Amino acid sequence: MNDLKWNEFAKNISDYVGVDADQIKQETDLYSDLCMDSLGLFSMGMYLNNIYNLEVPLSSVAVISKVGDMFKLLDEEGIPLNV
Amino acid sequence: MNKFIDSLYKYAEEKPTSTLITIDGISITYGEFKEYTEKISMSLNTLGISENKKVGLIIPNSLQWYKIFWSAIRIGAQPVPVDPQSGELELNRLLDITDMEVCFIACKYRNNNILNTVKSIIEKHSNIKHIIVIDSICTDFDTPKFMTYEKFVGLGEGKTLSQVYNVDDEHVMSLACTSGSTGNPKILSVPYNGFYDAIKDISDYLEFDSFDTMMIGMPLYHQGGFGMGMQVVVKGGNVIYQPQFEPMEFLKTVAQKKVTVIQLTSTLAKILLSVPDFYSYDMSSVKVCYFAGEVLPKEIAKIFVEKLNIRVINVIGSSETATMVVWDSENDYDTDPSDFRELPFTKVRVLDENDNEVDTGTAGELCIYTSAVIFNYYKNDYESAAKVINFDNKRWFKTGDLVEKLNDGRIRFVGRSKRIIKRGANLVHAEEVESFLLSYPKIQAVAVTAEDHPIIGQQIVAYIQSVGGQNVTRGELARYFDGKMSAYKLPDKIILTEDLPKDIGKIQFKYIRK
Repeated sequence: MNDLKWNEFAKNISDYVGVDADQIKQETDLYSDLCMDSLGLFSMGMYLNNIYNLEVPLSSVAVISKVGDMFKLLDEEGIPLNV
Repeated sequence: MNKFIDSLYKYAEEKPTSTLITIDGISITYGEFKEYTEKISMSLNTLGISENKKVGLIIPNSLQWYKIFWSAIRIGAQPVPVDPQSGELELNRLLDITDMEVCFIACKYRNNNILNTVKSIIEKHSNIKHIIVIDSICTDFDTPKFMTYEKFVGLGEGKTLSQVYNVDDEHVMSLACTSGSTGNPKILSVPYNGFYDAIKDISDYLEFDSFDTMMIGMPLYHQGGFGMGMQVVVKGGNVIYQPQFEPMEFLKTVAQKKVTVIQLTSTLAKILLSVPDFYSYDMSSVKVCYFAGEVLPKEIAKIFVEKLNIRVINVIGSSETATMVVWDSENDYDTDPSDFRELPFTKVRVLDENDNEVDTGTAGELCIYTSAVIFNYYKNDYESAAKVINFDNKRWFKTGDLVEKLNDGRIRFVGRSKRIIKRGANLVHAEEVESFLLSYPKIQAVAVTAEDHPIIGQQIVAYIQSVGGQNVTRGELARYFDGKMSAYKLPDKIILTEDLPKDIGKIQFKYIRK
């Protein structure tokens, strides 16, 4: 576990997608609610990797659809960089 | 003679139980393909579809797509595959220009509600007589033009239509749709016999045979994704598509089905290579990895050649030409995968602004001959005259790619003569996005440009000057795009600025592009 904080994570998602942070929930759908496409998810994954200094496989990003899944992925499977 | 249908039906007679195509784990054999296409073409015929009538397909990768496409071909009709990501604006233009009489649609594709969009615009398109909804789960269409797929298939019950349409050299196989630079779609008239010959030529060059199984990462509605699959099908092999790209499933399927040819883009390859236990998947059956649609970095090619012992073929093609030029690791490994050579069945010219050949070492526009060069852009004489030229009694295509002629006869891609953003394998025309963004009331001026991205090649960046300095967020633009414009055209990044020139789109583009 990387001890990510949900509120801070939601704010980062909000900054990236330009949607108010209070509208970002665990169950928010990246495709239908935030209008992302699959390539956009990779860009978002990289953006989050850079913020948290973590790395998650692109292949894991390719199969998620909820913001909560992205949070869990980074929190539980993100590998700290430079370690 | 009907080259594609004749060869597919020949395999249906010779080996009826052999698999032709698999999508989402469900297969149809060559024998079943013949039965389905005979039946569905009868249903189409009952709806008045015959020679040169247009049949729309707004459907993601599915067996229905394949069956309907070839059933239309069988009776000389022209399928019109449409990107199922298309929103209201794009569909309005396409339905207007393509003269579709019957259109098959899926209910939804990801967040794009195709059924709702088509319902909301159908009354404007009197040319469309029937909309057939292929998903049995959605029945919310109580209007006369709509019918279920089951009802449609039932129309052909008990009737027979044994004759296959006899194709001549002038016959248009299908209308392929691409987005135009100003948002007006370009519709490509694909030559039937020329396209078949191009598919057969590259299939022979790569020595595909009936034992080959190709797994494809690109979609069927994309002329490239469809055409590459046909390269093994014309030899009696079989082809596998996924409904949407799923990396782990892709690798599992390669191992289970002993896939011999895989087709990827650079982005898809990066995703596959990031699978944590990538090297534990058995890829020993794969002999060729086929790249198209994006720049291929040498380091990715090296992994496939040196670590996996797989021949890498990187092709440049377009919907207007089929395969144009190639980089083949067996012959070209000492060069960069962005340096290409012509194939035995294609011809290359590099032209200056007066259409004269440039000297070696000089850049110019790539002009290509292949047997598949389109007849024209449908109903667009101006673009047709500008892009499809006659030389040496053959149709050549001016690609818009800027290339440099190298000393050894190869060509090196150096850019595009137009403002095209290559986001993954999608081509996005900056002017189209700018034009749509300018329709948003809070935007005063906008300039759309590309920014390099390590995974997807390029991302879309919009520099926006808002009305009265208001805040404009990517989120509100996403809602504005939703249902109207494909999600992949939404800018990845918004940069608000105060000093953007107001007549953006011409000289000023160069001003902001560093």
